[in-house]
Amino acid sequence: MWFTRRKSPLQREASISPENILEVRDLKVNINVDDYVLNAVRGVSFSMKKGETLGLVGESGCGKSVTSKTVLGINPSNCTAEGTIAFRKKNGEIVNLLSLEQDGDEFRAIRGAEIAMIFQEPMTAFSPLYTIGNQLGEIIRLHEPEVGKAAVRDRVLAMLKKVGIANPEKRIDQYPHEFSGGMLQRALIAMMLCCNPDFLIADEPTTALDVTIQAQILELMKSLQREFGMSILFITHDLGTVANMCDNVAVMYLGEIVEYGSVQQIFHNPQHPYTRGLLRSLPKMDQNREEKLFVIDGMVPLPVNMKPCCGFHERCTVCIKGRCDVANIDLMNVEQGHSVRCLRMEEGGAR
Amino acid sequence: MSDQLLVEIKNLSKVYDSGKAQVHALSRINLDVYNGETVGIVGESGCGKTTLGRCVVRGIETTEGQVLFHTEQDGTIDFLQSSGAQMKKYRKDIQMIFQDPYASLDPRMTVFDIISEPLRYNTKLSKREIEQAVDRIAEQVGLNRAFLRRYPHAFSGGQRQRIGIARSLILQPKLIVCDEAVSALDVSIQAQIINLLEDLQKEYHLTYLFISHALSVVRHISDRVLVMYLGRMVELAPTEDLFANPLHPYTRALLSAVPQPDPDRKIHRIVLQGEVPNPAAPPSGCHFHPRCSYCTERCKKEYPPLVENNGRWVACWNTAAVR
Repeated sequence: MWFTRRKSPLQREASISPENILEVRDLKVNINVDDYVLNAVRGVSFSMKKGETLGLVGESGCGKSVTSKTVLGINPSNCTAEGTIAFRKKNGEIVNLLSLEQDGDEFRAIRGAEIAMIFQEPMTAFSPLYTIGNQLGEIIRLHEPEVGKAAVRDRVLAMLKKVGIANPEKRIDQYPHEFSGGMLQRALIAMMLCCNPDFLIADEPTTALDVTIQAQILELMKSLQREFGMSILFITHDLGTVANMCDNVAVMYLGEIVEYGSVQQIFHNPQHPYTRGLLRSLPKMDQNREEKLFVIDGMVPLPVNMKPCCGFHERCTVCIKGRCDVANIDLMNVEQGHSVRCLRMEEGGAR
Repeated sequence: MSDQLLVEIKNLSKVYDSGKAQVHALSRINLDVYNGETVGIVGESGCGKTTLGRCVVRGIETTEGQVLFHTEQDGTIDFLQSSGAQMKKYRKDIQMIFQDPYASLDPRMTVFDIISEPLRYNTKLSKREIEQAVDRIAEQVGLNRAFLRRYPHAFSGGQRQRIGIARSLILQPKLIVCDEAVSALDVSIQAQIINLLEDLQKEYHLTYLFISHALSVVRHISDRVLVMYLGRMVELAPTEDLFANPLHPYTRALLSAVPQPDPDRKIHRIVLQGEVPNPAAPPSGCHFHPRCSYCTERCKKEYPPLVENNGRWVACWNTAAVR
């Protein structure tokens, strides 16, 4: 079955702080693979204000994409999710997205119109069989069936113009193969903005693009955000992009948020050994070239049948035997708005 | 790095002809590669950097030009003209590491078979000697010997890239073409592989052609950097000079577009207008002129030659203005 199965029906109503548009609380997602269970997300909590850009950073397999897909309700049927995802709808109603049926009418009304997603590969996000105009218009036709044909076309044209596509009158009737990668990513962004969503999930939106095109797309996203005031959940593994785009950053490792803070706090005062390692292992443009790159030994383990522990303990150089590997670690506050999941914080940091 | 020439790429051109259109993937590339150095090749997709790498290993036939290979026994040979026995003899010296560690390993061969295959084809070593050689190289690149009888699917991306590196090293080549060798890897794994490549270079005195679009990685690993745009060389300079003071407007834009992992660094980002033009119908004159802010009338008509100044090569009519 397509929708996520749950053991007990969850409450539809949820609470949310007045300034937030989305609150994820203690989200756990398990993926059932043939003969074992992957604990892909292990208790993730975060919240997003209106107009905020939150960066979700981590390496492959850390659960960042699974988290975002759970919010949007597009997980495959072998996933089970627990927890609360409270979302404030445009009409002011607050719903727990996890309580909705993934393919139910209500979720389908939210998906696309209120929460939209930009995918990594613009080449595969479009169908090659329909024109760009047709695919962009589909989202308006679905969510606002009362809008007439000519009006849909006008809105699509206006959107294409807004994202900087030259000659939109000609482009609207072209097929995806006639667009370059950067142009397709622009069109994809236009598609996601057609219904003016409050909340945008951008899953590695510039990873597949060249640097000069990436710079264009990032500038575009920033200016559109200023104009429309939406919140963006920005998922990426590229720390450079995060530093340029985001207000706050959540660093994920093995299904947990190990550190959360503002970009300033994360980049200038990283506390978790993993965040520090990640930042140090990146070749920087102003680094001495003779210097060896810092290396985090080992690799990300598969999160199968995870016992309670700090997910990073096997690769950590300051791991405390008998404590880090036997119990889950709580988030500890470093300062206002900056928290980290590391026992070494008690002793004044992981230095 | 020494001043001993290893490879000279001379006037290399590659044209793809589809009947209707001709695509000049490479136009008159000239590059001297010295023993033990790393030359970084950067540029956006479609600029011909991968084509250049493939032409050098003769994975594809070149339309025009020479790849002169300086050998100890036979003196200087043109790798692109040599055939049969000579080709086989010197192909061993030029190896390649591929981008995608998931696509470049045969899923139906064990890791041992993959790493030892070059030895089985090119040498007459006994089974025992091959085993010893594979064991040695596996240890060198950080692969556990106990896992050599497994298939590639049992390995992670970083380990697969190590397998690919072991395979390219086993014949003890002189030149390795690394085509986006670390691009598909996660940050922490990428650092492991870069350090490994640097260690191996020191130990075996290897020469790398390091093709990549990741400028910070290229800056870290390369001695000299070649910047390409639409099949042509636009700038070639020692790494420090190029990154400290890029001379070509395209290099400047490229460098300024790299997102830095520092939220306070409010760099002046040069956002280029437009996109890389269609290589089948490149703009007249300097191919970069439609996107260039220094463009003059001359740029629209004539392609600027690659000119040397103080060990730096630039193809631009307006270097004085850009400075």
